[in-house]
Amino acid sequence: MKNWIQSPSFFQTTNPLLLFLKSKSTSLLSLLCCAILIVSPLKISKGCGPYDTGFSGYSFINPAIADRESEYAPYILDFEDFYQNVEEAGAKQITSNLEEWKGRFCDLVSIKDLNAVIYNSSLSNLRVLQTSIKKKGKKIDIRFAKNGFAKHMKNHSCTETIDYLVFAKQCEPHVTASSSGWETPARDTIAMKELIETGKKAFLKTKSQYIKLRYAYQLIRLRHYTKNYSATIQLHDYLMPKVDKLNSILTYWIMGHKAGALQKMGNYVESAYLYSVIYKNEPGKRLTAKQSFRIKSDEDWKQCLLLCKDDSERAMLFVLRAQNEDSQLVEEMKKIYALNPLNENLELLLVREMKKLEKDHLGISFNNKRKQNKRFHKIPRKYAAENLIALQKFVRQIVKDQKVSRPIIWEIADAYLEVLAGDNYAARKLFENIDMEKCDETLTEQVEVFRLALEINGFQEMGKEEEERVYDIIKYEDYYKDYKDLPNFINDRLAALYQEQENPGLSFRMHYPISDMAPNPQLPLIDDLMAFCNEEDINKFTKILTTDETGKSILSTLLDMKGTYFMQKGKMEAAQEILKLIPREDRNIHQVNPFFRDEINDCVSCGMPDSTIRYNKVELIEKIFELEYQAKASFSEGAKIYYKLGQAYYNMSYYGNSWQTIDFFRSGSNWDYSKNDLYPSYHPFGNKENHDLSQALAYFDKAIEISKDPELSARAAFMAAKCQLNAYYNSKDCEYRSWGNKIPDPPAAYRKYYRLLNSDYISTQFYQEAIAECKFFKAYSAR
Amino acid sequence: MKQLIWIIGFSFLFSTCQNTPIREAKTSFYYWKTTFQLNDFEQEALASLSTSNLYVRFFDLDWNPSLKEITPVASLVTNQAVQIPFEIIPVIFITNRSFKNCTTNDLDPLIDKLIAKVEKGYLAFPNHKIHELQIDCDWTEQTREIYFLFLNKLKTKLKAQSISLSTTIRLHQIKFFNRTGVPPADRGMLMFYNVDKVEDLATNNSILDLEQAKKYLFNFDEYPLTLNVALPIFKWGVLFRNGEMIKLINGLESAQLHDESRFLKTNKNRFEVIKSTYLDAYYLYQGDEIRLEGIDKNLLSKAATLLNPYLENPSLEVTYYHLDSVLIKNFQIEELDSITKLFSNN
Repeated sequence: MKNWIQSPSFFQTTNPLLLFLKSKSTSLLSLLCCAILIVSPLKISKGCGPYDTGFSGYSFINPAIADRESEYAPYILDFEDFYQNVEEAGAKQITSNLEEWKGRFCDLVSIKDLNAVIYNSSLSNLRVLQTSIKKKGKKIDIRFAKNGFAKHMKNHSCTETIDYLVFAKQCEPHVTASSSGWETPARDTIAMKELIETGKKAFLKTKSQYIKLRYAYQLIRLRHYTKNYSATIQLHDYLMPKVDKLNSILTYWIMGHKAGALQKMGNYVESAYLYSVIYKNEPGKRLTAKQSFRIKSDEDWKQCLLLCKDDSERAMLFVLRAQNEDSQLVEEMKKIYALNPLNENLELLLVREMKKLEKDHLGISFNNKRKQNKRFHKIPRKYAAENLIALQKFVRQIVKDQKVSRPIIWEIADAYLEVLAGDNYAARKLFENIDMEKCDETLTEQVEVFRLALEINGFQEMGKEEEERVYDIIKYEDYYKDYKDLPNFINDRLAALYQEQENPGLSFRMHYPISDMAPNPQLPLIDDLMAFCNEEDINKFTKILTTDETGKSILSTLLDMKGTYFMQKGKMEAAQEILKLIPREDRNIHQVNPFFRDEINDCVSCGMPDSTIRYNKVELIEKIFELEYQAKASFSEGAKIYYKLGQAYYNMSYYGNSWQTIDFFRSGSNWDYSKNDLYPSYHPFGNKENHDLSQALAYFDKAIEISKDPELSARAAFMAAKCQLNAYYNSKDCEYRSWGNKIPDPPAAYRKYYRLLNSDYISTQFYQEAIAECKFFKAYSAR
Repeated sequence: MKQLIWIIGFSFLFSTCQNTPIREAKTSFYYWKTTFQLNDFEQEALASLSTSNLYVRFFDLDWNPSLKEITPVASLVTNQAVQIPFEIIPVIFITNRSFKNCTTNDLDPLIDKLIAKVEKGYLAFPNHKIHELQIDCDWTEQTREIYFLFLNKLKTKLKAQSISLSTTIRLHQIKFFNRTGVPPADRGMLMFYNVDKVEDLATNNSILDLEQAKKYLFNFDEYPLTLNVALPIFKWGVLFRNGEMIKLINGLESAQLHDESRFLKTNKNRFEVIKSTYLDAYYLYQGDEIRLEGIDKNLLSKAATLLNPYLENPSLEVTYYHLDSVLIKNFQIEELDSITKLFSNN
């Protein structure tokens, strides 16, 4: 029972972290990380990625608390899944029919054999069987030699039965619809009428009352399908008095055709009444009855109520009306209750209404998808509060009256509705008053899960006590696995509480792995988490939040993010201070050499020979400081060094092959959306790209200023021109698109260095190289 | 009526002042019921209006999750062979979710089955030959690629049988055609209705609101498809429960809401249900709200006057949605005729 609600995605994830956790069998860590990672953030980007706009909330109601044995359950609880119900109803009808045949043959034949003869034999095969049954001494045909039903008919000379089966098979093409709808079924009304005449004779001749009833069904159905509705009723009234009343599903099948014909003739009252009787009594036709039930006016409804034999039948009319998707369930439940408090549909309708209210109310203050739910699903509904109050009032009345078959369910509902209403105190009191001895296993589980939801909902802050409790829930509570929304519920509640108590880092970790922050590091979150990493005495729960999937502290990662953040801002001294705190063994994750590449064309993915010296971030900053000092100190080499520094800053930016120095994530597609450095993506804080080239430009400017070598000046001017062109791409007025077949046309303000190249360095060798390699430059120089 | 005459007269005067080619607009209708049976009034109306084409919905196509394929739904029933003195153009409505679920491999067999089913259904109209097939689909950006591929393939197959392909076009698809794309069809039928948000309680008339429509009257001169126009003559009631739209009650007349013991008129076209009741076989609860929406001749002629200057094709069909004696009776036959003529330039 406990696995009924388990989400397949819970364990079937392909996330490497989760796979790792599974393999390590570190159950607690796995579970928490599942809890953290299972919630994928809503995409807000223009780019690729997950885009889930399905409703995202929590549900702890187990529909099994209502009478799952009730045959009405699929029609009330699963009303949304029409196609599944059609299939189920079709299958149910066949099963019911075969079971009835079996019963008629005293359970001496198997369902399988009955099915083979009744549903899976062709007309010609049945005729062969008919001959072998009718001719004494003739052996049963080989095709049916092993079929118990066929042998039974042969041994007992069931000629009426086989005659009927042959007749029914002849009717089949005229009464069955094409499975896909592409072929229109042949409705040969002349052939149908001939069959009716033949069938009538057989009906009158047949002695078995049961076979007579089956003939009557075939004939009435055929007549109905000829669309002569008054003739259908006439035929019904002619045949049915000639058959004894039998306890058979066929009675209701025949009733269905009568109801259909009556409806077509405009007699909605009697038709609706008959459909309600079918709905009540024949599960195989319940879906059809529900869909065909139709009342045109208030007067029809009144008359239909008058046709009912008792209040139990009247209550069923309200049950049918309650099944419209938009019905006001409380209003209908009140009517049903007034007529028949023992109606088993009341529990099912209660569950249906509670599930709607659960979507409206549960966790609404902390659900991080509430905007999405409102926008795409209009949940919570406009009158969610009024609907909740109305149901609470009704439930309390029922609890007070104690007239229903299982008041305990209503008592549990009463308590849970208080959870939904946000009155945790009242809910607690009501749960305390529930007599658990009256609860079966399912109800006991339901109460415990509701109490768990109440407990988490009732947390006022996240202190040590609460954290330890959550740790225990995750570690020891089976419901944490069995109820797929419980991890989300805990994550969202805790994230909101941590946020409220100004622990944004812990709040973030309730939803995301630490790597999700890397595309745009957030200082307040990093500082918050670092404070916990540095604490010596932290509880088990906080420890999980401050370690990675391998159980290692995330402190080095946080320091790396913080240092990188300062590097992005050009605060190299601050960055150095932070990065130096990273233990040496963790420093060499990103090793680069931004001084190496010095080419006319950009190449973000171009690598470096393995012989190239590489620096970790601490070493790189030291190298930059050293070069800055040397540039200032050396009169002869200053220009070269400034150029080198300019190259380094250029290569560390979004446009260079050492972008990993100051970034953790780069998207090539962001090029075309680069108006803002912050690119919205499926990362929680978006993806910040480092487009700023002002520092690089400043160094190229210095190189031009002090260089006495025209070749070096030309190179520096060219690189400065590239900085300006990239700045133009990022400017608001840029209409250039990289996918177009046009050369960008920056305004004069962005062409300063191209003009300088054309005016001062046209005679340099570098100028000729640049013209040959760079189409843009060639185009600009031609103007 | 006077106002209408003025509008017609003024439009006529205005149009003759232009040096535009002569154009005679023709009247057509959509037939959107599931059983094809024209009553005397409808036949007379079609004859009086010299109807050129009747666009008949043959069937809908929808994704069947159970069979995992696109299947026909609500096929047209024609009880007997019908002799009709105008063209019958089959229309197939395809749900957008069909294209969301199917793959490109499904398209060829789908098209073959679609054509075969249309041809079979067309047997009910003896002495007629299919000249055109129309596809109606509310495609979106998400389904555009596969929908256009479907149209391309269908168009190729139809062309081999000398059948042209038309598709329905929504107003926004013209204004934003650079973004939405242009369906690869021979012609388009501009649906000049359903211009406002039906689900919004604040909307006044979602069927046709000229102020809303004006916001979309752009880029007609650049739109590459030749367009005919479909105008609404239908009406409905929009039912709101707890502030949310839950149902459209087709053909709802204000007379059906006159019973003051059940309905309270709160505004020109708004009613509140003050006593739970059945209406048109649907159960309404106390507190439900109904917004009546429809079209009168003034609004229709204003729509025609507004739209006409944007349609420059040399021949034009004005197709009314949809043929139903109850709906047509809201207009005089001459009124519909005069509205069609507003699109004529002669």
